[in-house]
Amino acid sequence: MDDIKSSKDEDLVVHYKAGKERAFDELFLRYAVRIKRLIYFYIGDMESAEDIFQEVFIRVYRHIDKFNIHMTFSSWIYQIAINCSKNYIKKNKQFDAIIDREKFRVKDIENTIDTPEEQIIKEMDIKEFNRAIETLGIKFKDVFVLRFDQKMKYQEIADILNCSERTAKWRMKKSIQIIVQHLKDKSII
Amino acid sequence: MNPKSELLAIIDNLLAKKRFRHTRSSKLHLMFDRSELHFDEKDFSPEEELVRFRKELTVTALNKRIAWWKFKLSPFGLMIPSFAILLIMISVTLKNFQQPGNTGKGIIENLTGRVSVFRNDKQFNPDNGSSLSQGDIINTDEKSNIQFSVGNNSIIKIIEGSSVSISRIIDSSDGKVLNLSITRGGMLLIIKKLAINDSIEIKTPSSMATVRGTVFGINLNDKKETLFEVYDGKIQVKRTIPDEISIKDKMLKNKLDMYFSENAVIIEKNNAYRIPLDEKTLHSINIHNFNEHVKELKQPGIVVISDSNFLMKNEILDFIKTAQKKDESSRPYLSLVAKSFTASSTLEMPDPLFNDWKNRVRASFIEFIPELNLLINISEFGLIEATDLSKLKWSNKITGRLTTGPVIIGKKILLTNSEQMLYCIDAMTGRILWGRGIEGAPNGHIWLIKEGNTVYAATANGSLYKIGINGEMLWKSTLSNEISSPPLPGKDMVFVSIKNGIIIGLDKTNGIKIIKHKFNSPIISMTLSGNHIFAASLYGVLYCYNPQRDEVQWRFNIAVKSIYNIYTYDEHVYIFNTDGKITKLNTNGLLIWKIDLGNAISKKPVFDEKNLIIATDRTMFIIDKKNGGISWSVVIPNIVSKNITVNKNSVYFISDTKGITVLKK
Repeated sequence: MDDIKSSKDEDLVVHYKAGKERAFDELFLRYAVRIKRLIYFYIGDMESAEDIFQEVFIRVYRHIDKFNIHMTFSSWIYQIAINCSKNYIKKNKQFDAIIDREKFRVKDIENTIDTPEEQIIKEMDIKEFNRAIETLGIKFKDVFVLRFDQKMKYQEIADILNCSERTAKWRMKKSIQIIVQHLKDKSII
Repeated sequence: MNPKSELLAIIDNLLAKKRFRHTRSSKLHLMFDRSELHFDEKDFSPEEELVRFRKELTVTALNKRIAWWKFKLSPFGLMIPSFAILLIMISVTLKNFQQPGNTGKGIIENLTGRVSVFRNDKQFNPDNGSSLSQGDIINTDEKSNIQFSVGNNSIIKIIEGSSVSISRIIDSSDGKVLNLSITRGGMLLIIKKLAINDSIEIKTPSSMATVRGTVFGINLNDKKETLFEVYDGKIQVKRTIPDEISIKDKMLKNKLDMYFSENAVIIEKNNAYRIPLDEKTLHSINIHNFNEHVKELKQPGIVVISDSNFLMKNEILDFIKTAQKKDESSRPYLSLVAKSFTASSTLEMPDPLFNDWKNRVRASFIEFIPELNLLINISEFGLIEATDLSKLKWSNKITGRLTTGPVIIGKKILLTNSEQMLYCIDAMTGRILWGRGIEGAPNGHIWLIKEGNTVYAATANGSLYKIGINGEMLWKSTLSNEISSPPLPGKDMVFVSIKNGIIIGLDKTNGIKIIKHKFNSPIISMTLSGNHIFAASLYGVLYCYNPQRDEVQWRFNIAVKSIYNIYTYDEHVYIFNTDGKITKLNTNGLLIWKIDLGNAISKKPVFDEKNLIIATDRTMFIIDKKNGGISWSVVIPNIVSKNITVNKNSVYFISDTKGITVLKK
């Protein structure tokens, strides 16, 4: 048990391939929250995100035999999650385009409800903040979520997105610039 | 560099650029610093997901059955669902504990023409059934009006060319408060007699009306006069300093306020009261000449309403009739409607089946229990009566309001109320056998569906319960979205549809989600036959879905935008459209017959062995199920019960003029 808990991801894949079913469960539990968050960012709908979440792990389960242990498991599962999410968006483009989803909110709102400025940010500006993120091109969105929400290093982001670290950094900078420009155009800031 | 510091550095670099000068940097920092993904980790249980994942693997036949059983039978596999259920229960309890619950809302019941609502600086056009909340400003265009109800106390109609705002709306155990403010146009109100802690106030530009139970109309005319017409009960009206007149002297303001309060009037039934603007006089008054000039204010006259000066009479009468017609048993102030207007309008009370029925239950739901030969009659306000059609056998009352019909299991009646309680009542004696809380239905709307000796209860916020006949909770499952149709128990799974056209199948033994399918549009009605689910979409498509294979096997285009409901009977699917069309299909999607009754189908249809019994606005149709031919039809009084019920020889319903009505088949 302890052996499995303290194993690196790639070692768990080896254990699983050797027949230890629990090694896969450990990988599932390790990545469940992060992958669900990532999918939710792309989809913005909890029910659909749940579907894609299951699909991601089914794909991982199906293809784990083909996983190259010289690669990081993290990059691999993130790639699968991003691809599944994008496929879903493509399929449901027409239906989802009409829904204005707010994926981001102001945190700790319960503690700041009486603060006037916070209140304003919550009710009005956060909508535009969300819209600004939606205006990002898909490549910029990828970098933005991995850095801003998942707090990943640029090297990891570069591995997942199959680009250079420098490109990832540039896309992040550009994303912020687009968001700031949008907020300025809307007279939010 | 950590992501946060890096983000702040990027922002600072940007703001240093010329085009971003004059940017509110502190707010920008705050926005990035305080924004987070709208994802509650506490509502997400990886362990539960793992259980579901393992199930999903078996369903998709990836892992065949061996791996699943290995997992399910291991101590770890057994431990996880219990742990997950415990976590869900804790999170639901905490959630409910934190919920503030006293903001009330209005529900739109009728809307004509173009009506817009401003909410949080955004404008939208509401629909029937939409809710109105505190702060909303409602504007009606020409030839447009809107009717909405607030709790079971009030029905309000805003007439054309009006602007009304909801300043306050509170519905709590300490009392109900409704404050409306009208700045243009007019409105009509039917207000039930209020409890001691309840309060309803209507502000106009030059007055304030306090109401304790009445029917009245308000109209603002072009001369900026306010007219009150009272049709029943009474209202107290106090003049106020008109909005158009600004008085800066605080002392003068207080004096005028005091004067108006002292001169408030009570307007009684059949009286009208007209308040002039008196702009000139009000401008001429100051603190020094107050005593002399205040007398120059025109004293609003109270006049007795007659046909000639009764400005809103016809509108009010129509309003009362439509309010009553819509669902009489839940309307406030019914006795008033009958008493006050019998002479002058068309409302009448001819011979009822029971002479005293008017004093008893105004039924919302009616159910016949063949085993006991009992007709159960349940009012929306919780009064329950059982009769053997000759005399009353028992009666009882539960608190709160009923929003959905009861379920009969053997000799037990199960029903839910607006206080989120599920009660079980002995049908023989009327005694309450047990009651238990059903959380997650703040509006009291709980769907109850029986299966054997158990009942499924589905709530608006997405909770599904399975409860035994003795009140024991067998399981509870929380879905992350609103449930949009009653639960549908199948062979191994119970199905529910939620928002966005998703159908979820849950294991009937433990409530764990097994399958999920997304349709292209929201599902409004579902039924089941054999291994197939028939799902009616909002946009007029009927899907035949096979949950075992997770595939849609056929589609049938109903060619209308809205579907009233679908039912299956004897392995056939019946589609009932609101406009009176009925279509019968076999389970392969082939059309058997189609008829058009030409009347709106207003109640849930009932099947017996040979026929289909349909109640429309004024006619009861008995239709041969085989060929769709009308066996016979009869003109009936307006049905006020939400359903009709049948036994072998008779059809029962409650009508507005006859009370309990029996038609011999």
